[in-house]
Amino acid sequence: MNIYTYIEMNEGAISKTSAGCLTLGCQLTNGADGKVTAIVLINEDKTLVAECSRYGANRIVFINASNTVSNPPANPVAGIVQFILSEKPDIFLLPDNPVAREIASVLAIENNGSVAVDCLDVKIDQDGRPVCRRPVYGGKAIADLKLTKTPAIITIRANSVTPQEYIEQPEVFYFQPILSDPQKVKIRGILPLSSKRPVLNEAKIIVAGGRGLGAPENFRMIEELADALGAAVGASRSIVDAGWVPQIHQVGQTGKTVTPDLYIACGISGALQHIAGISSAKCIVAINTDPDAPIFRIADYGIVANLFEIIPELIKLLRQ
Amino acid sequence: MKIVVCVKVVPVSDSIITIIPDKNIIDPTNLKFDLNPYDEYANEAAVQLKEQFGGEVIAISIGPERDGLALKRVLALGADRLIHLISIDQPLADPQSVADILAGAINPISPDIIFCGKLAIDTGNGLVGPMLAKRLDLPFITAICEISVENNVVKVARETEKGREMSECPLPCLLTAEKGLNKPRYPSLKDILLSRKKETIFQNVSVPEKSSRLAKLSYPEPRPAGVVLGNDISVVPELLRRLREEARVL
Repeated sequence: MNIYTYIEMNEGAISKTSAGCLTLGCQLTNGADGKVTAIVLINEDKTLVAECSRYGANRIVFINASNTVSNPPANPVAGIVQFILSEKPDIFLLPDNPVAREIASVLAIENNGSVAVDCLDVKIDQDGRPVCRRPVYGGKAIADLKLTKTPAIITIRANSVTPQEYIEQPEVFYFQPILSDPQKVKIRGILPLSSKRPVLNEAKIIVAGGRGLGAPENFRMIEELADALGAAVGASRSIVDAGWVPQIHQVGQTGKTVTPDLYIACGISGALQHIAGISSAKCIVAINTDPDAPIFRIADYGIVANLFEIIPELIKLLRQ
Repeated sequence: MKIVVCVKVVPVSDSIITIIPDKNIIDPTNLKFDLNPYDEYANEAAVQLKEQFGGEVIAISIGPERDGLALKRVLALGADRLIHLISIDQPLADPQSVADILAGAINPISPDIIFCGKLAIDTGNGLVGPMLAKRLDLPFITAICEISVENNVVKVARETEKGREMSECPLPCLLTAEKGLNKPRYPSLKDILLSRKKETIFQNVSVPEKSSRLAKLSYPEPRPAGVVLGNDISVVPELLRRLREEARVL
């Protein structure tokens, strides 16, 4: 079985989820005659070769990015699609994010393959087909999807596979995509985020606020606690709908499903759609004045108290 | 301007999901169904463009007969007519089949713009929009939070991990709507009464498991019960100790 993984970069290194994809690739080929190929969308980089080999890549392919992107950069879909079309892998694993889902959709149609996104795990069944475990109904149920066509294109949710090391001596290849058609979608520019905080998707720690904050200006307290922890900030649907914080911070079924090591819910009662979005967090802390709030049913540690007392104390102790 | 909006009827987000034993499907009894929330933004964007440029908004949906009630709302919300492709109850249907069937129904309409929601909150996929665009050979932009159309070019913005990305694309194209793209309207009584006169076309379709098969539907593992540490600031040091030593997340 030949498995390809798309390597996403995070500040010059390979992202944790990409390393997880390589690990999953090694597990799926384990014992069988197959190779794990890492695809990187940059020009050659020696440290990357070392990193990909550390997680078990047998082959590394650098897709020459300079000709695949315009200035400002367009999304990387075209170069990757062309490469995968030329290689015919059995399985193509990508770290899940909106761009990965676009790549998956386009590839599935152009290649007549199968696709499953936002997967927690992949196993090979007795027919030799991949079966993907993925949350549905906002995490209230789990679907096992059997992918019946090749290639099987699978995106993997952040923090769902723990990277393991398998030292390999990889071969290095290069691929130069030929892009004849001009892209119809033109990117006019990007307004960079003003905040330096981590994004929700891959954050290790998330501090989130809800109605219990009482007023929009009190969200600053959530941000302060987040900064003391190097965390991302999240918000419940009700305060996003009320316009206190932008939509990009919303956690839950109509926002982002998150998988951090630590989720601190402050003044969030725990509506079903919110709980579903955080239930794969490793550890949940809830701070709420209402002892009957549903959030306490899923929290590992609860404090039934006023967040205006607890959060400043937390910040104080963390800064010591 | 001819605009198609693809909508899906889903259990509302605060639904408690019950799986029918030995059947890979949820129990629809006692569930409240409504338009997928992202599709409401898609429909509102379509209706606003029609109000600006004139033309027609055609809503299209695949789903069981039961969806009819929720789908009537899309007509009250400003769509001019509805195509309801009636299938058996298979909310987690193969996205490629769904895209193929939608493409077949939309192709003869030759719309200037197709709107979809960013994703449906039951599957959580967000695949049908881009797949449909690919099938119809149209450019697409996903999860837009701002839109304007000028001289047959659509200008949009979307929030990415790198920041707010502004892009443009010529018509015809497919766009998927993020929450906050607009404020979906509330239909007035007059809108509701008028909607009863609007046309709905029904057609039976089957959605085969073309490229993926739902092998099993199950409940997630329950989280083990936690502890309430206390009710005042004296427990904060204990919380930090447990996070560091017990949970090892700090």
